[in-house]
Amino acid sequence: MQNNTAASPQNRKLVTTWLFSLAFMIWVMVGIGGYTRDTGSGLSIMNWDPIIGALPPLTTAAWNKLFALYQSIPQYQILHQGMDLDGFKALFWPEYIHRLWGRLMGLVLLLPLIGFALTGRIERRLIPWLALLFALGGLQGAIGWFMVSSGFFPNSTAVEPWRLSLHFFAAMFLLGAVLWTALTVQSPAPVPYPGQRGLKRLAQLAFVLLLLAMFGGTFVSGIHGITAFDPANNIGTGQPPAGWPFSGIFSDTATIIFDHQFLAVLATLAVLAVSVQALRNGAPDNVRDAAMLIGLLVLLQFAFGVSALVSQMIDLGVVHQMNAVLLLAVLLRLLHTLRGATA
Amino acid sequence: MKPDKALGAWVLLLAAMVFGMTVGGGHARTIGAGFTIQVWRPFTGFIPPMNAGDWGYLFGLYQKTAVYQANPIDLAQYKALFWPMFLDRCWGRLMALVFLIPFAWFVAKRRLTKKHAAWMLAIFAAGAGQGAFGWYMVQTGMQPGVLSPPPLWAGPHFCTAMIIFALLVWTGLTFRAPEPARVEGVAFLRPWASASVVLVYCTMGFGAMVATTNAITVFNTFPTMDGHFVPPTLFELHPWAQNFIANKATVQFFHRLLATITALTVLTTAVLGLRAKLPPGLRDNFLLLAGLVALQYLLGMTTIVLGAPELGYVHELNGVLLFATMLAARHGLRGATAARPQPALAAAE
Repeated sequence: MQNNTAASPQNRKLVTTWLFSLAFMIWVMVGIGGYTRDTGSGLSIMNWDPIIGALPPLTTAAWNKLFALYQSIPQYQILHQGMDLDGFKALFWPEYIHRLWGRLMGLVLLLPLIGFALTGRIERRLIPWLALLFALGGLQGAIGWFMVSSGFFPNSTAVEPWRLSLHFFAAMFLLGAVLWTALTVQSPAPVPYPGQRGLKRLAQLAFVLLLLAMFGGTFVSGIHGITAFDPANNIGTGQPPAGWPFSGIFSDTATIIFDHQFLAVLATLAVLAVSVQALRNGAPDNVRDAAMLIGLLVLLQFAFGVSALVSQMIDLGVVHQMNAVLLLAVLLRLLHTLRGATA
Repeated sequence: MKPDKALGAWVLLLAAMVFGMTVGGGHARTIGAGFTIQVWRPFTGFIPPMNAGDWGYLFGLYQKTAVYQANPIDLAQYKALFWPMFLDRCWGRLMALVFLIPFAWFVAKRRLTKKHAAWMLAIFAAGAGQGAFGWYMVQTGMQPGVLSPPPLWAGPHFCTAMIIFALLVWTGLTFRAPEPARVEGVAFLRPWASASVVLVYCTMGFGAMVATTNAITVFNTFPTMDGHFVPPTLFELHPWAQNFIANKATVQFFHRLLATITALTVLTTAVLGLRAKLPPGLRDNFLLLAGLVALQYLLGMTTIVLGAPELGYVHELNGVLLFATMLAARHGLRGATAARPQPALAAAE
């Protein structure tokens, strides 16, 4: 009988695997979204049909209809005047796949949830929580549309950076919630770790600083910072622009990039401090390994960030973004492990 | 042999002075002062020029160099280049004193065995040879068309300095702790650490070639080299070995490639070491290793992107510190054993 309850190891493992897969799908979604953003394809689909939008255009007529719609927006008229249908298709597919992946995630959350609920394989208290996350996932789609629609404003060739930031952080919230839920199903009771409270506080500080650095990063992405590096004009060289910090936090390119760099340095130092602290103070093996992994990821992240800035390679920007999310996820895992830390 | 802290401190001080020499030599190279003193007086050269006559003589010699003829300067500018080079050479003489005086004392007090005294004298001879090597390098400035120390001289000059440095670091650490401390269960780390030492050394060698061929002036991009991961001009010179001396693309490409392999190897070594339960001193050594190698890679990236020789100089010095830390880590693993004794067996005994 034990095997049929939600608390059985098999069922817990099943639910954990499912939720981890979902978290992985969100991570992939960040990559697709980043690619969509960086290629400037986000505005290629002018309508929002949550259900029937799952079908791509199947006929030439359907393509032409979509293309005609695209030709009516300012981005086409300002940036892509005279683009042919193939050029439009190159813009269309990333955005389409981004939206399709979102729908797929909805199904991957909803269908197993119903199945697990009906067969009693999942704790009852998780059902409303995961149903809420499903609803928030739908809301995230709506936020996405709210963001995209700002790109159709007169004379606008891209979405408003603050809406992009909102969309990204809604994604981070969903990822964090799914991950934390999965980890809690995996190990429901906090393991006591005496003497690790200092490490936990430090990890919390690193988490906040990392979120701030990522917040700055969304604005760099939002203003197409990937092409902004210009040492001659002191953009991206790591020196504060004239008048900083009041030189235009959300508007001036040099300021946005400098702020991101500044916050990234703080976050990097804090994350490295977590690694060093865990390694020097005899943290338990699993804590030590997570702490070491975030140390390596943050070094990689710094190198990716500098490389993306100076090379102006879009792909590196996407890798930088995905690595940031990976870093955030491992840091969350560390914080989850340290729930039971005591003084 | 018993641990001898004073003996170890003396040899490590000499190693630190070699590091100081790379500070001075790197600075002289960065400001282009290498050819300013065209005389070599090993014993009396510590006396600086005293009067207008001395200055006139030295400046007159410098005026015969190709670099002066390509870029004439006045006496005041000459003096600004002269002093760093002069100090660099005096530093070498000071090192000889810091070697010889304590050496005589340690021998007199019988704190150095015959074998160790011979070994230290061999290192001293290598140091003297390094000075002579430096002089022959400086002399090339009299040849037509040679505007800076040629890569085939300056690159090996740095490499031999680093060999002397490594010998001093290793010997000093061994005098401090002649008997390897047992470190249980980490014998697998030794080949990793040895490979890291060799890789760091080779990367530094190519770094010296980057500096001396002035390869910093090209491909100021990262991670690609002007859009190519492998530059198309990699082996355009014939015979092919010429590329490693005269082709900036080749020199820089191999420095980048080796640096990446080295960084990954050193980081792997550090992670393996940190996951094994090392004693606190050795653990901190490994932690420092990870920090320095990451810093070194970032400094290298930044140097090449900005094309800034001053930053390259910092990159060079950090490379030497990384090398020393790597050597110390490997030294700490001398007493590594294959496996932890099994508790059951230990109890049975």
